[in-house]
Amino acid sequence: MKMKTADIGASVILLILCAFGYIESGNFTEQAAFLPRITFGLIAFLAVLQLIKVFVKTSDKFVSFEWKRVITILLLTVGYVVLIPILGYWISTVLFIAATMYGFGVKNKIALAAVSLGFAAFVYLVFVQVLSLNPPAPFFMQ
Amino acid sequence: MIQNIVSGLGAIATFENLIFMVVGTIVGILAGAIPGLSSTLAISLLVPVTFVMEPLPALAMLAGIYNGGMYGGSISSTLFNVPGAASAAVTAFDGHPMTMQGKSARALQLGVLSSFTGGIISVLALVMLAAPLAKVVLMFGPAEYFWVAIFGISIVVSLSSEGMIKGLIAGLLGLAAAQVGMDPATAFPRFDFGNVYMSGGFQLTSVLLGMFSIPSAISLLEKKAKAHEEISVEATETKVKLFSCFRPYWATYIRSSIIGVVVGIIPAAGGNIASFIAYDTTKKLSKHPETFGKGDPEGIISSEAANNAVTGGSFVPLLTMGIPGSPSAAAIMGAFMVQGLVLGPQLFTTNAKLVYGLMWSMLFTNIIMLFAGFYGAKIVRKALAVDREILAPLIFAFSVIGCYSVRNSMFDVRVMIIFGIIGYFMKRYGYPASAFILGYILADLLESNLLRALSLSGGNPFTALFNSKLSFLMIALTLISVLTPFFTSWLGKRKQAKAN
Repeated sequence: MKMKTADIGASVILLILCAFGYIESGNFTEQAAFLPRITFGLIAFLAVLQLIKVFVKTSDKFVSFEWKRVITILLLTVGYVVLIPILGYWISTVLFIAATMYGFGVKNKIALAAVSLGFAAFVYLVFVQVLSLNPPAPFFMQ
Repeated sequence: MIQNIVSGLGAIATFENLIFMVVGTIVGILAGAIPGLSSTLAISLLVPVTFVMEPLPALAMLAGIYNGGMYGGSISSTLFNVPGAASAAVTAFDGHPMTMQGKSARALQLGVLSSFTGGIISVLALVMLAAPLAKVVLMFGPAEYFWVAIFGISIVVSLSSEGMIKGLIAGLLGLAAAQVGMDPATAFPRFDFGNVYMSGGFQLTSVLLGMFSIPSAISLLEKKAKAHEEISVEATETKVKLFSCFRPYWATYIRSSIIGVVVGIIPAAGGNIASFIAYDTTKKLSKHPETFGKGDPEGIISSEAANNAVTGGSFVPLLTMGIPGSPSAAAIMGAFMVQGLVLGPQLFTTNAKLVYGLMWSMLFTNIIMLFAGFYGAKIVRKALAVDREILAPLIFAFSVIGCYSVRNSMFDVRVMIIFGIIGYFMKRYGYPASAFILGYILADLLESNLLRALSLSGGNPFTALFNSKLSFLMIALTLISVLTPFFTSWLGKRKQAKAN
């Protein structure tokens, strides 16, 4: 994506966000609304400045994206967070680490098992044994 | 002050603290050395862990990561011409040519010795400057604190590589994100949409991990190339004596360290700026400037001494005013907040032992770093071969459990992921995450003091905010902070025009 296109998109999103924030702050008390109004006002001003800059500036650059890889990472991460309350922390974590490594090119089964189970063991030692934390359990054990 | 220094030494001198300092320094060196990771990322990941620790060992460990991370960047710069951290980019100018000449051992040892010298000089400066400055800050009222926050936010101007507008937008977005939850004066709920979790605002750890660790992990997986595996290093290892690394260049060590300390005190002017200035100064003063860039030891010394000297310098505004001088310092500020410690001059009276203990830990972690650098270079070299495909999922999984551990909340984890996705796109399009964090951290200081100043003056903003010499001093500093990048850019252009 070209930087200019991204800047235009970002400015529009920011202006929508500011309009929303400014309107929402109308429901606050005068004191509570003071800083939000200034903040959103300034962001809107800067977003407009950025738009002007985009149209004045002659040079541009291309920001390359590996969309396939980025979307895969995001899907895996979101899936991981969604799965934690269902399968519990341990199963989800082992699956997530192994799946991500496999998906991005590590095909060695021993490496997949060693890293994912080794990490789970490390977390168990540090967070459960030392810090007395109880990671989320699977839904059928809650 | 002497009494506080002694009590700080007493507090830090325990076996437990030593272990945490060693662990922190080694983690920092590894994080700094591995391209794509950084000391800021390592500190952010470990901030949740410090929640259940005593304050001093927790902060000592993070100080170790900060020091170790600054040095660690020089290892991959020297060996592979791939700076592990931005601050080590200049080290590669002469470090890598030395490696190619078969002098990698000497280059690495010069790197660690200069990092050590810079670090020690910066600790001395921190001890001498922090307490007197804290006394001045004690005289601050709400108006002065408001201007301190504005001064802190003005720093974002210099944080964006894509220009001032993006830096400011990122800082203001951080300020806006901090407004979710109750307002500091009347506890009126803002932007919580009736969600009970949001009424308390976002946890700092969720925001820190989201803005620093998740984008780094995504970036690691996004790229296929493994730069460090593409270059083979043929080095002739020779034993180098410590003294021979120091004696011929002592003036460069000291001069560059002083430059680093001064740059470190100026908020946001971090290690990369310090190393560039020190390198340029050393080159100009050298009798053989033509050897710079071709493996001159003084090139490595000036860069590494300066960037490590930034660490102690950046702690001066952090401890005395609560303004983080660098992204790593902002992450360390998160640890102070997690511990319930309020940064500022009162810290020197209420927690003097802790403050001076932290300063001692900066000194000790530099010594640990020296030994680790001299004797552990081979291990670090092996660690550099770890694949991105392994590192990235581990960062994700560690961030999740770290974020969850603060208050056993999956809501915090979801917030972290959302901030992570936003942070990734901000990073790609030039909106600095450090500016966002700075805005987020300083929001409370800004708003509560603004409202207090206004209420004290009966609502008149002019008498509320422009009522003392100290306020005008802070305004002047803010103007200097805003105008400096423009001035240096103008100076650079003028120099280039003259050279042409």
